[in-house]
This record gives sequence, C-alpha cells and structure tokens, in this order.
Amino acid sequence: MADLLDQPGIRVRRAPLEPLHVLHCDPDDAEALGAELGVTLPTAPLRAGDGAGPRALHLAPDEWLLVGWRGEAALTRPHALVEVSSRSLTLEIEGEHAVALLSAGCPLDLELMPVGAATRTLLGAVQVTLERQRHCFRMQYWRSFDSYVTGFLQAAASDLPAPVAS
Amino acid sequence: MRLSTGGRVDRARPVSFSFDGRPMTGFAGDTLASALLANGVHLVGRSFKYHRPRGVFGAGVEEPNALVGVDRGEGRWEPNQRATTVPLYEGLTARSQNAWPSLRFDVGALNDLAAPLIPAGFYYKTFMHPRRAWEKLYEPLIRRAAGLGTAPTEPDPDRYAQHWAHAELLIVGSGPAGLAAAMAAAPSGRRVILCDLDEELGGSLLSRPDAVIDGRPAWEWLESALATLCAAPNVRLLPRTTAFAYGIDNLVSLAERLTDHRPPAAATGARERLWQVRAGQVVIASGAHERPLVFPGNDRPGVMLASAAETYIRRYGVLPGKRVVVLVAHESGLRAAEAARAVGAEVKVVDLREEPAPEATRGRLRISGVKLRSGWEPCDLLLMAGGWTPALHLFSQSRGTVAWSEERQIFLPGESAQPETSVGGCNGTFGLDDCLAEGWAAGGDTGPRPSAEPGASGPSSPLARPDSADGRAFVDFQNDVTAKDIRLAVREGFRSVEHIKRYTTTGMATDQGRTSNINALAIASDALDRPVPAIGLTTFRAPYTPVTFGTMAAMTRGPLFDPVRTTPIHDWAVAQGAVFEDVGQWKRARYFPRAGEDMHTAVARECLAVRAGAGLFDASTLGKIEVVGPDAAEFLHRMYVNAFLKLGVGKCRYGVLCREDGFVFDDGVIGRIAEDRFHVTTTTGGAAGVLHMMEDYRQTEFPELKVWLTSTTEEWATIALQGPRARDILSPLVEGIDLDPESFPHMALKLGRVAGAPTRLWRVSFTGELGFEINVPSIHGRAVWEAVWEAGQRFGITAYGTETMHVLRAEKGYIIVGQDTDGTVTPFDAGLGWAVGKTKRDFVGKRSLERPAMLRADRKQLVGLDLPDGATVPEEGAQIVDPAEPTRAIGHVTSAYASACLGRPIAMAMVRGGRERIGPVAIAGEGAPVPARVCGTVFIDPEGARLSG
Amino acid sequence: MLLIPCPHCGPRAEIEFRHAGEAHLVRRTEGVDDAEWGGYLYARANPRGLHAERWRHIHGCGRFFNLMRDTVTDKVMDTGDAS
Repeated sequence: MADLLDQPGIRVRRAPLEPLHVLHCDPDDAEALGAELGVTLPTAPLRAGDGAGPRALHLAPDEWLLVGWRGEAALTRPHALVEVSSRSLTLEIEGEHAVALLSAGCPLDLELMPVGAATRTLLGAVQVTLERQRHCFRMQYWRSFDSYVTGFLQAAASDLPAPVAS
Repeated sequence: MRLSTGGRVDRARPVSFSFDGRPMTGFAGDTLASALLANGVHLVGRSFKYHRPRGVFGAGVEEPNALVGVDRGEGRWEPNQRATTVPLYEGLTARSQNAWPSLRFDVGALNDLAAPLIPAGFYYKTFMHPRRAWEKLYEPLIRRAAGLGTAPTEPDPDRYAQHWAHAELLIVGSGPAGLAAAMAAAPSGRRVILCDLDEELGGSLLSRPDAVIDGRPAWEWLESALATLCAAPNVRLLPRTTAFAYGIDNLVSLAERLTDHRPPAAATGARERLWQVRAGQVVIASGAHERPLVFPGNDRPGVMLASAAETYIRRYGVLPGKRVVVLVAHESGLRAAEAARAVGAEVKVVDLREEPAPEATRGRLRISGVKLRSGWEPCDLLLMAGGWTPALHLFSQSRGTVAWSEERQIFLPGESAQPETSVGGCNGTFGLDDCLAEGWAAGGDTGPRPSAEPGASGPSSPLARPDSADGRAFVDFQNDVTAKDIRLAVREGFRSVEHIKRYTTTGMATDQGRTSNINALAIASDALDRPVPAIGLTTFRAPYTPVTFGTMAAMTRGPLFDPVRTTPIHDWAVAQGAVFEDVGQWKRARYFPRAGEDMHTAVARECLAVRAGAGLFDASTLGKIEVVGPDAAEFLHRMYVNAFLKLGVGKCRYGVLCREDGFVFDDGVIGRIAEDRFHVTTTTGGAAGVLHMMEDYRQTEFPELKVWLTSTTEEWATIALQGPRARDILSPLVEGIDLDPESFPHMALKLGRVAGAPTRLWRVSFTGELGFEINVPSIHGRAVWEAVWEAGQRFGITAYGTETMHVLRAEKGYIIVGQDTDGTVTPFDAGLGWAVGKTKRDFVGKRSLERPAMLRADRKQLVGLDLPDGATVPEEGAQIVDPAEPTRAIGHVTSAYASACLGRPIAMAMVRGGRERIGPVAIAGEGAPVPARVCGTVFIDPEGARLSG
Repeated sequence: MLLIPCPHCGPRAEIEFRHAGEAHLVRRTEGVDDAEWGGYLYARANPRGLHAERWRHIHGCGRFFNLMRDTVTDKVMDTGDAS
C-alpha cells in the first residue's frame, strides 16, 4: 500500500482495489437476499458489517454497498446488483489526528461517529463514502476526483489545528 | 509616555517598529496604538471626509480613527487596520492613511475648510451640471479626495486553513462572564470552545489588576483559571479568534489569526483558520462598548474614551497624557480618573450629570484645552465616559429580538431565537460579581462559583441628548458624521433609522457604528421627537469585524477551487500533446495538434482521417446509469419520449429525455443488456442532473415500480472507434464476439472481451461512420486504448478530440443538447419527432407537448444552413433574419464549423417555421447580412449507407 | 447553515442536501386542462411562514423527504414524513 501521507499522528494510505457491488432491494427482502448472497445486510441505518470476509454498508434504506463480495448468486427477490469495482478509489486514514484531518472538509461530527458506522457525506467539494473501522477511517470516492481528494488531504494536513490540551 | 512599571507588557523584550518611516521601540505585548502613545505619537490619521487630524480614540475593535496600513512584505499589504488591535512584532512597518503629503501637512485638510459646503448627502444635491462632467471630472475627483487606505495590488500569497468543529458549548468572549461559564462547564466533560478576539484571554480583567476575585488579585485569579482550562482535555481555548457570524441552527463562524502577531519571517504555515462550529449551546459574553460624548471639537487627537485610557495605563503601562480632564456622564469614568492619578497625572473630573457638556476644544494636532462652563481648562488628554452599550451584534445575527429598556436607557438582548444565552456586559450586566454569577449559571452552575465584591452595577445614565447642532460635534468619527448632519437628515424628511443611516452614512464604516449608533439614535429621537425604540436599531449583519477574503475562501482556491476530473485516458492524451478544454469539471482533449498545426488545421486533418480510415476518441466522460429491476423497461418507457418496452436485449436506441414542461433536457443512447438491465448514457454535463431527475420520479412518482438506479459513469471507460476501417482494427482484439455486420448490425451491443478485458461492445456512431463504442471497466481503460491504438497504426488511426467530434456530428445533423437546444426546444422543434412514441400513454413531458403553444407552426425549428461558396464560418449565436425584414430576428445559428470533408462551412440553426421555409434568409453580423438558404440538417451521406456497412 | 433532520440519517448539515421544491404537488396528466397543468408546472404557494417542502439528502442516503420550514425564521420542523 502506498503512503499518501505520513506525519506524526496521521497516516493516509491507498487501500488495494477490491470487488465492489451496489445492491438495491426492498428492505423487507434484505434478509433473504443477504442469505442468498452469503453476506449479512445490516438493517440498522448507516451501519457496516464487520469481521473478515465480505461485508455490506447500509448506505440508504434500500441500498447496500457490498465490499469484497464476488461470484454468482441465484437471487430470488427483485433486486439490482451492479458491479462498481472500477468506479472508486479507497483511502485508509488512521492516527490520533485522523478526525482533525477529515474535519477540514467533512461537516459530520466525526468524534461521535461510532466504529462500524458508514455513510455518504462530503469532503470539501466531493462526495465520499466514509466508514469508521476500529483502527482507521476508510474513505471511498469516484476515481476522477483523485487529484482533488489527495490534494485536499495534503493541504489540510499541513495546517491542522493543535490538539486540545497540548 | 511609557510608565516604568505596571501593565502586562514585557519590558525585558523590546520590539522595534516603524510608523510612517520613523523608527520606534515598544515592548512585546503592546499593540501598535499603545506603542505609538508610549512614544508620544498622538497624530495617527486624517479623517475620511474632512481630513481632520485624528488620534487614538479607543483601545480595541471599537476604534474609529487610528486606521493604518501594515506592510508585511512580499505582497502582504493590508490597509484599514485598527492600530489598537495590531499586535506589535519585531520589524512591524505601518503607515498612516488618507493624508498627503504627510500627516502633519495634509493637503486634504482643505476639505475641512470647505466643510459647510459638504455636509451629509451633499453629493445628492451637487455635481449634477453639466451632466457630462460627472464621468470625466467630478467622480474621479471625489474618489481621489475621499477614501481610506490604498488597496493591495498583489495576489495574497498566504494560505488559509479551515475546520469544521462540534462543541456542546461555545463561549464567545473570555472576560469574567465568559471565563466563569467555561469553568462551570469544564468538569462536565462536555466539549467546550472558548474564543476571544483579543491577543490574550481575560477580556476586561486585563485592564483591572485592581479587581479582586475569590480573594485574589484579578491577574492571579486569571492565570490560575486559564491554567485549569488549559489542562482540561475537553476545553479548547482560542485567543486571537473572532466569532464573526452567527448562523442558523447554531452554526457560528470563527476567524482565528495564526501568524499576524509574528514577524513575517517567522510566520510559517497558514495565516488564518476558518472554524465552522456547530454548537449545542452558545454563550455570548462579548461585553460592551463605551460611548463617547457629543460636543463641539470632540474629535481632536488626545480625546479618547475613558476606559481606553484606563486600559492604556493598567494593561499597557502607558500614560497618554499628563494633564487630564475626565468628562463623566457615567460613574465608570471615575475609574479612569483614579488610574491616571495613581500614576502621577494631574486630573480634573467634570461631572456631566451636574454640568453642561463642553462648548469647544482647541489644539490642532493635539488637544491643548477644553472650554468648560468655568472657562478654558488646559489639558493634553480629554476623556469621555458616556455610558456603556451592550455589544448585541452576535445576538442580533442569531435573529434574537433586541429590546429597549426604558429604565436603563439601553438596548438589551430580548427573546432568543436559538439556543444561546447572553451574559455579562452584552447582557447589560456590568458589576464584576454579577458577571461572574451570570456566566457561571450559563455554563452549568456546577460547584462553587468565583465571586468578587458585590458592587453596584452602576446605573446607566440617561442617554445624553446632545442638543448641539454644531458642525464640529462628531457622532460617527470614522465617516465624519456630525450631530448637525443627523438633524439635517431629519429636516430633509428622513424619518426611519435606515434612511437616516444611509443618508448620513453614520454607522456604515468599518467600525459598524460601535461608538456612534446609540448617540445617532439619541439625536434622531430628539429631532423627530419620538422615543428611541420607535426609531429602532438597524439590522446587525455579519461579519462582526472585517474578515480577510482569504479566510472566507479558506482552502477553496487554486487547484482546489473546483475538482478537476480526468479520465483513465487523460495521461495518454497529455503525452500526445493534446490541447484540453473544460467540460463542467472534466478536462477533455479538444484536439491533438501535430508540429506546426493550429486548431483549425489539426481539426481538418482529424476529420478527414476519421472519414477516410479510422479515428479514436475518448468518450469516458459521458454519464452512464445502470437501470435494473423487473420494471426497468417500464421505468425508461415512462421517463423517455421513446417507446422502450419493446427494445430487445442486445439492442440500442437513441433516447430523448424531456422535462415535465416538454422541453428537451438530455439525450443519449440506451442499450438493453438483459431483460431487467439497461445501460443508459447521458451527456457529460447532464449526468448528475439526469440521475437526480430519474431518482425523483422513481422515489416520488413511480414508487410502485421495482427498479433501481446506479451511477456507473466512472465504472466504464468508453473508447469510440469510428471510421470505415473500424471493424478491421477491432477484429483481432475481440474474443467471443462476432463482428460480422449480419450478426452485429448498427445499434446493437454484445458482451465479450476486448484486448483481454471484459467489454460491453456497442455498435453506435456519433460520426456517421461505421463505429463502435468499447466500454471496458475503467481500470482496463488505458490498456485497452493503447491496444486499439497499436492495432490501428497500420490503418492510419488518428486520435481526435471534442472539436472534431462536434464537426463530424454536425455534418450528420446530430444535435448536441445544450448547444442546439437551450431548454426551450421540444423534440418536435429539434426534428426528433420520430423518436417520440406515438402510442405511449404517458412519459415525462407528454402533457406539455399537447399544449397549443407547443404545436404552432411558427415555432423555431432545427434546420441546416446552406452557405454560399467562399463564405466564412458564421458565429454561433448569430441572429438570422428575413432579408425582406432585416431588423427582425427569426432565429439564430446554433452550431457552425468549417467542414474539411465538404470543403465549405456548415451550420445548424433554429429558425421560425424553418422546416417549411421557402426563400432565402440572412445571417446578421458586424457587416452586411450574409445570405444563406435553409436546407436539411444532414450534409453528408443522407442515406446513412456508411453507418450500416 | 441549516441542520436538516433526514428521516434516515439523522440531523445533517445543509450542504449535504438539495432543496426540491414545494411538497405535496400531485402529478395528474390526464383530465387536466392547460391552465391546471400550467399551475402544476409553475404556480407555487410561496408562503410567508410555514412551507411544506421537499429536500433530498443527495450527499447522504439520496432519499427525497418532506419537512416544514418557516420561510421567515428559516426554522425547520421534522414532520417525520419520509414519503
């Protein structure tokens, strides 16, 4: 993984490409479809499944983003399954200043974002999908926005506010 | 003069600076104003209109007079800085404003002599004749004669940071009330932000070493309070930070100054930071401003606010004058008198609650005397204690209603509109103990609160109603507005405070009326014989103090102003020397010039090459939406004008999308990948808008349909291979796809592999030539592009850009939405009536297309223009006229190009009743109208033979 | 900047949303005369005061929903109307 940023309290790396699919369905069919796909589809809003292996991010009432799922599946309920593995790039942001870095451009209250939460939001002018894992934030965005996103993070990293109580 | 002891300045750290080229010394902790006063500099500026000599008047943001320009070198010039808030640093270079050739001898002072001719609003009554003289003579003269400061001429080289923050409690102001609130809140663990616009935290306590809190001297208490707050992990302290805007839902904007207090060489990093704070609760502890008194000659250097003098003595260790007269209309003035006496000044107190206001003052460049009832009293410092005005700006910005207290004769915060509380001076609470109590309660009231000697808050004096009509009794010092001006405005019929303000310009300067609004109101009230609250306060608007443009823009500048989007093929095009154009946020290759070519020759070559052999074009920016579900076909059938239910799997159809008003909104080819899956394309610029519109209908109008939408614009790279040799080039590269025209007709699609990558291969054409659009996942885009390029070399394959693409499609009469249409064009107008499904029950826009206005024969219709030999390419947008009536436009040119393939210019146009028009038309331009004839829109291969090969 | 209560995501900053016009407009394409149809396309209540309107959480869940906003005070009321 290439390091985009490596400074005290922050490390930003490119995550390796992995299979990505958008799944749409009626929320009532989610459990059955999840079983057929072999991925748990979280029912609570803005939650991501955890653990090793393929997981799903519940980004909208009728929409999940499947990460790391591949293969064929015979699905018996109405649904839309669209591969988007090429569409996005993903960065991993970790360190004690990760919240401060993302807060240069993201209006969410990131300090209070729970581990295992995932949502679409903004970083500056670009829409991103943000997921909080135990050790890092994962931020996904459409690939054409790469020069903006990386430029933004690099600029923000050079002007972080001092941490409180230093 | 500098006192040998006292104040918070660090006498062990002298600091050199210069003012108007004169080198001087101050101390770390000084402001420019305190350092100038310490060096005996009392003349610091010339007033805006009359160029009267002016000196330091206040000690903070309320300063109206001491405006200077600060030069930090290398393009960092900032005019109109208040010397009272400029922190002194080593090497600071400041210059006075609005005086020429010098402060002492200012030619502009002639304005003062002409004062009777130039009262408020004089420019509404003069400079009218002769009318021609306004532009060339009067306006330039007036602009040169008036004005404050000179604008910088170089771009701002600094960078500015930004940050979203969230806090359960935001406290604005770190005086006793604000500090008490912070200390009460800290133990709760809530996130607390405490900000103050001053260099140091402490507010009014910084000028009150004599005060006692919890039995300790104020500065000792302050130090320990700050230490406690500093150590609390949930409390963020932000000095040098101005809360400048209170927005809806408790979003407060703060501007933090990071480096202006340092010498430029040491000022690394961002210069300022914009904080956007969403607060659960806001406590406003912004204090109050002292009012001056209005009497003739109240503006000379050496006349200042009593509290300002107290601050210079107690906080900065500077005595601004040795023979002091203190005009006391409010008892707080006595504190200044006492402070001056304590350091050896001769002090005379004049109690204006018993005596009349002074009649006059004298002293040209510094006050030398004041005329009291008892006669002329010599003085070199005249202090005014006119009472206190709560700083209601942020409260008012929060949309709280301001209330007038008749008893106390001040405006106070009334009903809150958002979760906020005003405490301390800005709430009309002036006693130290009361401020601590109020702040503590607002902060959560936990535990024992800090306390001081309970003292009288001090009654507010009745608001002075200066009856002076003198032209030298100043109300607004910065804009040179006098009491006479306000009475003049009332006499001339201006009754509302908004009109009085605008006519006289009182309260409209950079100090935003801090020291003038209430006095102006009092005079107006007197003149109108109406009570103050009936006249009202003007609306307080953000920003509280001027904010640097750089901070407002923060990171949204330069390369980060707007994302620059590039396709997977971009770097290849760069290496080939392509010239790019912006299409929305995307960079698209416009043409690929070879050595010595300009755009015209490059495009001519590219066009000929495509029609003769083959061309390669990057169409990856076009929008793509995957429409999937059992009702996918029904959904598209309802959205687009076309019949889509019967489109077979493996087939493509050109779709036209209208808005509900019947006008063409977007277009694109749609391919059916499977029974329940469509690959929809849109224009590059329309991608987001089409998806948004589709989602709107899907969620709101057609919720019963089982269909879902996914944006796949960036999932697929789209490589357009166009030209008679296209199939030859593609053959060796495909796997699992039969390219034979019988098997793979025009407007069909197949799945398979190209150059090893999975593909959705479409046989479509925007050029009118045999053509394919190779869709591959974008991670394979570059590799596949290069494979096709390689394979095409022996067929003379040519890379072409958007300019050539435009010409080739125009030769075939294909429209470009947004160029040939403008949001007022129906499918029928654009010659696309064939696409409209005749038996469709409903589609978006259908009802509108039935309106009579949409069916009129004289609507503008898309036609081609036949131009005479040797004609130049018409300008796009040029008006088209009937030669018999050359002043009435009957249409306009929508697209026009030099066609290399035809050897002459071509154009498309929208013309009234165009399709039925007989007879010549003409294109209006700079010279004589150019004759033309209406013709069909297809200039090349109207039978379409080249397409179906 | 408004804090808008998205029925699915909770309160979020206004910049994540896109205003989508007056709420409760019914699209009826059959049996309406031109005047009525024109009203559907263009005529809006534009009240001074409470306004039922649509928003879309475009940089979030992407859903359209309704809420009430006072056009004078800009205060938003969550009506819980996710339709």
